[in-house]
Amino acid sequence: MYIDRLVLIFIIGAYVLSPSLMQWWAESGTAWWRPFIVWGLLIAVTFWIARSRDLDGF
Amino acid sequence: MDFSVTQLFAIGVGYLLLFFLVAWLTEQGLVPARLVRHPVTYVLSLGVFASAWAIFGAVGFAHDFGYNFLAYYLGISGAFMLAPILLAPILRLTQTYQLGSLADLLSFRYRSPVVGAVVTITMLLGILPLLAMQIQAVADAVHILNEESSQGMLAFVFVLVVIMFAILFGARHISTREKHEGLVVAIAFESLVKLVGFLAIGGVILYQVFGGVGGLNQWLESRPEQLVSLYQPLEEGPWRALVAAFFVASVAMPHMFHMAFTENLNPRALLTASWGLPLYLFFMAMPVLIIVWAAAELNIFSNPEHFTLLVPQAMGSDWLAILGFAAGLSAASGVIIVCTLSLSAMLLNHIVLPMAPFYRRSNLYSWLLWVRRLLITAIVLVSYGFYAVMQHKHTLSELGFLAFVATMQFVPGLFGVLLWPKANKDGFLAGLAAGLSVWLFGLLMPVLLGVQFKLSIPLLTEELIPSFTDSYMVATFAVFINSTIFGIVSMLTESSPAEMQAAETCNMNNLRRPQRWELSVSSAREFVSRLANPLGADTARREVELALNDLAMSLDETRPYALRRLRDQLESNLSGLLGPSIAHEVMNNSLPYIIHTDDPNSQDIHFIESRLEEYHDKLTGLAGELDSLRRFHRQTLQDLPVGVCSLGSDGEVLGWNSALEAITRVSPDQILGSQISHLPAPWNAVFDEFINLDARNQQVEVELDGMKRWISLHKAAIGLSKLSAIQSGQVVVVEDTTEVKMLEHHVAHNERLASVGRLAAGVAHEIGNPITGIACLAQNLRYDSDNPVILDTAQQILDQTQRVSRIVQSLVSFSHSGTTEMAMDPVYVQESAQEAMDLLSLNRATTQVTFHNQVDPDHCVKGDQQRLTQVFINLLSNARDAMQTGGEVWVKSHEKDHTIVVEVEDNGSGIKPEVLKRIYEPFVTTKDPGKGTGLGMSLVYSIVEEHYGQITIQSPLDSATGGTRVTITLPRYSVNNGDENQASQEEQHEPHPDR
Repeated sequence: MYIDRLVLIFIIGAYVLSPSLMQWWAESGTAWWRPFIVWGLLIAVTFWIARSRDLDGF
Repeated sequence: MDFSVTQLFAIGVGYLLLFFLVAWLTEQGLVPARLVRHPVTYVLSLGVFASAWAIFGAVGFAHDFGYNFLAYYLGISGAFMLAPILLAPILRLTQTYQLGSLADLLSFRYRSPVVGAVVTITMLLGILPLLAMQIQAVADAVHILNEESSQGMLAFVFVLVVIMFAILFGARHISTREKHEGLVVAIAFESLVKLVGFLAIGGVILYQVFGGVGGLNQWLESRPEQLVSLYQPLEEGPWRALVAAFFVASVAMPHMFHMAFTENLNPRALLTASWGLPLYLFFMAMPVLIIVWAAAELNIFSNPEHFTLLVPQAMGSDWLAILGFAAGLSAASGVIIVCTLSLSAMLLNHIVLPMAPFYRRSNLYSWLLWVRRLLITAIVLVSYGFYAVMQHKHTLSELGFLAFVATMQFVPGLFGVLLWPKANKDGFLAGLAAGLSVWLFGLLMPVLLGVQFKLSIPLLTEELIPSFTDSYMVATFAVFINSTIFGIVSMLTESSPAEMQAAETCNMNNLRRPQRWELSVSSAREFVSRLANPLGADTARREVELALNDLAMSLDETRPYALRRLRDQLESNLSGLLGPSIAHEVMNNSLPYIIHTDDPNSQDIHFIESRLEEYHDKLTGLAGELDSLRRFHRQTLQDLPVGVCSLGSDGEVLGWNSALEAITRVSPDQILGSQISHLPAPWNAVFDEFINLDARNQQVEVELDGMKRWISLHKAAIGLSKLSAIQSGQVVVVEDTTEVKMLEHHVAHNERLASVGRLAAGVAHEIGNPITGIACLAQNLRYDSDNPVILDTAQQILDQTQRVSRIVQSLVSFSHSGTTEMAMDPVYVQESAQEAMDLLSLNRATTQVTFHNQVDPDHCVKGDQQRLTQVFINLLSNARDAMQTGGEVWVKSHEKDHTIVVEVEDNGSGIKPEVLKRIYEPFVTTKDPGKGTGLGMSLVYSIVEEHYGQITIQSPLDSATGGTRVTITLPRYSVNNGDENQASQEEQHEPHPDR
């Protein structure tokens, strides 16, 4: 069974980081926009990756 | 303010008409194609995910479950962020094999019509609550804006309009290969409307209720319980289960599958969607909390799912409420239309077609289209019925959750599609049955009917069994039990060969190794007659032509390789029309493969190579290195200076290099994938005979364009090693040995001629003495008699003996050439030529021609004066003999760095090509018998060669007037290669520049 390296990193990363991220999120107090910041950063990273690669198989 | 029913009806229908207009303008080609295929249009069309739940349900969910509402957006955002890895392979599969829905994809992977039918029924059961939720959202919105209106009536009108749109713009074409551009643009438009509407609501509320961002922050500081209610459910709640459910929705939800894959107009736009859809949802999520907090500030305590409309109403902003209504209407209509289209395709392919006989229908396309339209109507009406039965007893969140958990049951199956080739249909069906049972008894029935079940498993205590009172626990348990049973059953049972082949095809990054099976048909034309039985003659012809057009092939195609590709293409196209299960069945029944059980490993090398060529720039690491090595070996074989052809065990041509193309004049494109017997004559006979021969080498003569050619063939068996993938093929090496053969013949001929020459010289020598005797006796006879008859006879004897002497002299000269010592002195070409001209001019008996000596007097070559004069005598006499009286011969010269080029040119009749080819051979002459020995040019050639020179003949100079030019290149005499005395003598003649 072949699992793409990126998927593997994503799964392990999500597993390791999610409790800390949730804790950081829950401690935010009035900074209710914290999840939106993380979300925005993820969009920026994906945008940057998508710019520099081509779609395999097409 | 309440809106009147007429106003609401006008607004709703007006908006939906605008929706129709956008689709119609696109279908008419009035929207620029660039815009239709633009990635932003694709991203917006994916915004169909944001259903009425995003406008109304999310607000209620955020109110009740805090930050858990973000799972709806983040789950699918995560899936799309990984789109190049997770979704691109599915897009490739759906486009290559024309799979229009999740049921198509799963039944293609598990090669089972049962899988398709089960997935379709599950999907229908699971999606009905979602569709009912959309209708309920619209009905609720209408009720909020006009409390007296009949929700049911308006909802029914809405449903009818939706049916009309789906039929008009979503079911124009039956095949998935033809996209519905109008639908895509209209859905993108509705996504834009709901985004703008929802953002406008959020923005206006933020500034009117809170006075801006600063005011909101101050308000939150004064109402800390609002933030606590956001975070608390996050810690207790089902955050991970929700994220997972919405992650899967990217593929499992029929409307997402339909817009992301089936109606994808531009595959590369998936990359833009990887960040574009998360960004779209980011903006869609922003106003949710603002609306929740505004409701708290304005003391609205009604159903939180209605806050999107109630807050604007409380603010007294009618237009904002209408904007919310339009956004909700837009979202609901989009989801219903796309879901219905997808479900209708599933029902048609996996329920109706396997049951309803469609065989040999003359109008198959329109029949399919009408059945699909009926199904669309039926699905929407059933959804309306479902909504009517529920009678607003459930929240949007409850209904949405039911649908998402149902579609989560396809997760193990999808895992098998992309990542686990061992997974099989038994595992999939067993897992799905278990997961669905949990969903049915643990979620659907308790939620809809209020019936609670208690799960009891033997040997397990109550603590170990999940409680069915917690919906999220039930959802997780359903997926868990589904996955476990799927894994166990898949491992315990065997996959069918067809399933294994499909698994290889689907598996991510796994290059399919197709089998080179033989087809039972021998031409593309035969495809039409075979398919006419199940599809009807017209449909069969049209489908075969379409597939041939896709592959740029003609109806006369007969190559087995090409026919296999045609069969694959036809199956894909039919899959888009009838679904993969029916298409597979039709192809297997009409155009079956002949499977050779004794040759199980005959892989389609040519196809694998072409696939590798497509992917080569995507291969990295070890795979990339191996591919480079493969390309190097392939190129070596391709550029080998001998012809190489590799054959499969069934005689199919797998390799054909460029040298072989040059020898046979058959290009690889013509023959690769064909049987060797399909080669044009004479090669078919040559190869056929040779590969069946016991001997490993053979020499054959073939005639090409009227010319005889000698071909040498060698062969060896390949792949006899156990490590090799290819079994018992043959490699044939072909060499064109014509030149070697010609050279051998030439050498043998020359050898014979030399022997004849030596013999002739010997004979000449022996003849010389008696001839001299005869000449003396004839001379004496002239002196001894006065009888005129005797004198005449004596003169004739003398003439004939002189002639014999000349012949003998020629033979002796020819036989002595190259053997006698030759002087190497400076020779002035002009003098030699002049001497030859003077000598020839003495003979008045022959044709009178004019010689022009235009040789530069300073041109000096190194050689033997006598012999070079002989060269000129022979050339000039030949020229003279070829001309009529009055002809002209020119001798010219020019110099090069190290050579003198002498040209002897005449305006005679020229030399015939067949004579020209053999002109230097001894005894070759065009003169009348007795007039020439045929040794002249041969002697010239020998003398020029002895002088290290070259001779070329150009004839005719002009196709109309004839003429011949003999060009002789001789080494120029210079001080460096002459003797020193000569050099010093020349120095004495030339004045020194200093003197």
